Amino acid sequence: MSGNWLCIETTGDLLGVALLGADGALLADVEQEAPRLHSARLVPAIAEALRLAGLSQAAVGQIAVDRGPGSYTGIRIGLAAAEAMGQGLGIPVFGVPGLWASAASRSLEGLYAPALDARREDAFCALYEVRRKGLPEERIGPGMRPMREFLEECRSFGRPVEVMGDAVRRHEEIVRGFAFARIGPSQMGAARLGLFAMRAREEALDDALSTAALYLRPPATAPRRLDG
Amino acid sequence: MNDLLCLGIETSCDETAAAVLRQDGRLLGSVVASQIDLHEAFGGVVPEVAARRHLERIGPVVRETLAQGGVRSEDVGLVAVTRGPGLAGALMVGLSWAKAFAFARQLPLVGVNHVVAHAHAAYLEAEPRYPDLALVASGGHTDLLLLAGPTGVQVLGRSRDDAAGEAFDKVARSLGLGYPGGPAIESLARTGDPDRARLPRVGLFQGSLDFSFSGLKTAAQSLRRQGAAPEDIAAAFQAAVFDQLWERASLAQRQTGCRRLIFAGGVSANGYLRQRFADALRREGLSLLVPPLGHTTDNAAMIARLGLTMYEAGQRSPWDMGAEPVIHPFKP
Ligand SMILES: [Zn+2]
Repeated sequence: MSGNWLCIETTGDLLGVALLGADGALLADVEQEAPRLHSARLVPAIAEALRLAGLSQAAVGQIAVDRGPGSYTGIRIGLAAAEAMGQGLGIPVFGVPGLWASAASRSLEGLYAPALDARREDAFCALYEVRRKGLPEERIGPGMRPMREFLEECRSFGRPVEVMGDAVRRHEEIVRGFAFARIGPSQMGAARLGLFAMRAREEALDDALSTAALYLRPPATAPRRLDG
Repeated sequence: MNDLLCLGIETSCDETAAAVLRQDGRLLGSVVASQIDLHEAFGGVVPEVAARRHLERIGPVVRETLAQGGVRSEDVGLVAVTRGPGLAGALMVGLSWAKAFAFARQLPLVGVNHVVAHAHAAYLEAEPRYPDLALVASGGHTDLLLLAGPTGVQVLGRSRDDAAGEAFDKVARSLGLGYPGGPAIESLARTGDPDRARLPRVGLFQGSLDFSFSGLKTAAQSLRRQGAAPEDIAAAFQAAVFDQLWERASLAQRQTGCRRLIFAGGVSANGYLRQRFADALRREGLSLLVPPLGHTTDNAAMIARLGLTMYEAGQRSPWDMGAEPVIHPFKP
């Protein structure tokens, strides 16, 4: 795979766009706190990242996009935009499982629990073990759970766990109530998506890189007739 | 040079649609992926279900549309997309897709109003004669519009409660018919007698051309409980809907002096209503213009049609254009 990576993160409050060289070097990074404005802000953020890197659209060789979990609307905005650019430029698009990519962005061996705010008591969360080689291994699969229940489950491993992602901000008091839990970064950045995609492809884990949205929850089904 | 190709994208409700329209008016491709099967069980559109399906369909629908017209991505010269009104989550799928595609190919982008586009569907096969009077009736809207020019639109009247198509759906459900209700009521009404089941007429609101269908719907539902025959209720309901639409439309015609009426939106597919409008207009020496077959309900050809018209009038949309689930006041 040649050419630069465009990385798109729209699943949380933070909108992130990063450009990586084919070797993984960070060329540009744009982050904006833009809750509920991703649809309006995403293309301008991509334009800004290209401008910062001094690149044109044609210099993008592939796209990595967070395919969830997170805000349902946010997931769709990112995937729709990534697929449209892929179609427009004739380049491949890789959907990246966001929680797994967060764990993979940590280099020290150990247990990592990426967790995203899912409103009220809940978080989209999973537990991974980062080892010396390869991508992190799943210990608790991705799901939506009450944050406290999830941490109870993490405790059973009897080892320190770094909790990261925006649920750390939202549920900080709960996390601090568990002695084994360390507070990690609350924002993970878009560059991790491209770096994860590169590693997954090296390890021939292309199945993980589908562009199917990872909602982790069935839709709520209250009908509302609008048009026809 | 009339060979500019406009790619239109529509995802405002429960149809994922794309179309390619050439500037000379030739429709090269048009695909509508309906979600009706998906929402039938709920008796209406479920926003989150709709938005998820839009994302799954949008890429394949665009590729199929391009293939239909023998068009490559790099041949597209303009992108038009519905920005509202509609379901927020559904709109954002099409909007994000359209903006990113246009940006990738460095193409001009035009965001269009879905309701105005319904009226412009009539221009897929007929020339505009501004000012044109248009009645757009669908499951989401009942709007009487004055199309003053390529971009100038005036709302003369709109529904104060249910949309006409929504009333059809609700009455159909109370008669034990399926969803969507329009075709079911039309076919049942053929065997009914509208005079055997009287329904109230809704007078004009003082100084306004607004509509109201909620009282009519409730009256039809209570006739059912009183034991009136479903076919008679269906026939009476359609007749009452027509009377209300016609009263406002003909008053608007007299006020504006327009020589024809555009009847568009999903409800305009109803053969009974079309016939009544055609007859009533003919008696006044006026004419009826309806969109071509298959372009009354949601589609992207109408989005491309209005997008091209706005583009020719010099309109462009910025990259930070957002979705507008409720557009008020009206923008074209
Ligand atoms: Zn419509």
